[in-house]
Amino acid sequence: MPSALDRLLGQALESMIREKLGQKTCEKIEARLRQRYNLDLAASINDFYTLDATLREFFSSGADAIEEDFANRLISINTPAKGRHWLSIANEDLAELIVATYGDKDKRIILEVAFTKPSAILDILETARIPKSSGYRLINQLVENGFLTEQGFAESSDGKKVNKYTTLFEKVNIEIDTKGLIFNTDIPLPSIPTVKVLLKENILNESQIIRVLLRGKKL
Amino acid sequence: MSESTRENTVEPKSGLNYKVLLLIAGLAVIYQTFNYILPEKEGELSPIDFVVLVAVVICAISSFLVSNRYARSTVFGQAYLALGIGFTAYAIGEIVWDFYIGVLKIYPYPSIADIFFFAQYPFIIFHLIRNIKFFKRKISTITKIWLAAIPVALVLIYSYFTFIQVGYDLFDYYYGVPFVAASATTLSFAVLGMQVFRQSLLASVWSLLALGIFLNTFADINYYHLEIFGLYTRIHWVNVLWFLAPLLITYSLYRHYKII
Repeated sequence: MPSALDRLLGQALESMIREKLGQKTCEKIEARLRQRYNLDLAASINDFYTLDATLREFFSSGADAIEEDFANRLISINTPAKGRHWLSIANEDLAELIVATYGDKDKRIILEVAFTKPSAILDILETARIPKSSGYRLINQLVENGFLTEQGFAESSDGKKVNKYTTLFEKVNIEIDTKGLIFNTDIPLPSIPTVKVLLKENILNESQIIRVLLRGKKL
Repeated sequence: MSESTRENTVEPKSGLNYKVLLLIAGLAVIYQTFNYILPEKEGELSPIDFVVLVAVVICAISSFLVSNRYARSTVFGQAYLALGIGFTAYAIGEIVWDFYIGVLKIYPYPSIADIFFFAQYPFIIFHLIRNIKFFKRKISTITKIWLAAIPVALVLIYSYFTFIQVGYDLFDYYYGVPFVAASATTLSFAVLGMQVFRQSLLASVWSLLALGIFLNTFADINYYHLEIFGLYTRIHWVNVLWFLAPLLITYSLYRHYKII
């Protein structure tokens, strides 16, 4: 399973690749990924070295420039203090996803509970006082999008080993500059939120995407 | 790469079909043979006059088709659209040229056709820069030097071969300089493109494109040199280069279409 950070970055990266290279080129790349690794584009993003190798096969050293462009459009890493990194989210879709997730009351409660004490899903839902039916769906979304990450194991009531979850982020700063509001003739267009996140653990190196995209930069 | 990923290392096809290259060379021989056989009459057009136009139109249409294929790509879509516009300008220049000769019975140098001939260069340069910038962020100082040196050297060669001969027309010399410089600049960027993509699947595509642009530039420089001395005729060999160049570029477009 890809790291939580890769799950978070993966979807935004896929749409960025499709936009930059175009559908037809992506189809050729996907065909090659299937032939060589039996993976599609989304799966290769989760196993990013395979995509990197395929881009290199197609574009040779040009892949460096493509990946640098993707990195710049995805995130920037601020100079670490005491080994921790603040990530500035440069991608609009990703910024919107973070704002929407932390703007959702139930999801925020789940994230706060998991941040305070890494727990199994049932324990998180119990502490958060969220019904199991909708709670499981919310937690699945949070895991799928990378906001929750596995951290250790707990034992369930029937003695089975179950995952404990914690949050990917320790802090999230969201700034919305109202001066940036753009008014169309009749519909106001919202400004893009500026989102900065602090990872809970120093886990940048666990992300294949970060390791490949920021190749050569000290993390 | 995860250990579970099974790798198939069969290389994808990226080369050229030499039969197609032979066909293009054969067409060039046939073209120039007819060019010699068919008499050139002043103020009259012969069917052979339209052959270069047809090659340029095919190249323009191919560029638009490739652009349409990559319409949603922010790199290739715009780059190939610019190439299509460049070759459309070239085709319009050819039509205006033929109109001057066939209808107005005036030798069209200089003429309005030159505006369209010149317009092709910025679009071709945009096409090349758009591709190169996306795949190569940093250009070294040495590269920048030779990028500038190629047009400077070709303008100097054009000037040298003008001034060592007697009977040159200074107006025609100065008139030709921007065309020579712009055409040589397209060659500079085509060579850089070939260098950027040399180990990629697009290596053959860019080699063909650079060869096509090289032939076009070589023909352009010779043509503007010939015009200084009033020596250009329809049967001159520069025409076969103008015929070959768009055909090679069209084949490179086809290969690009097939490869990615």
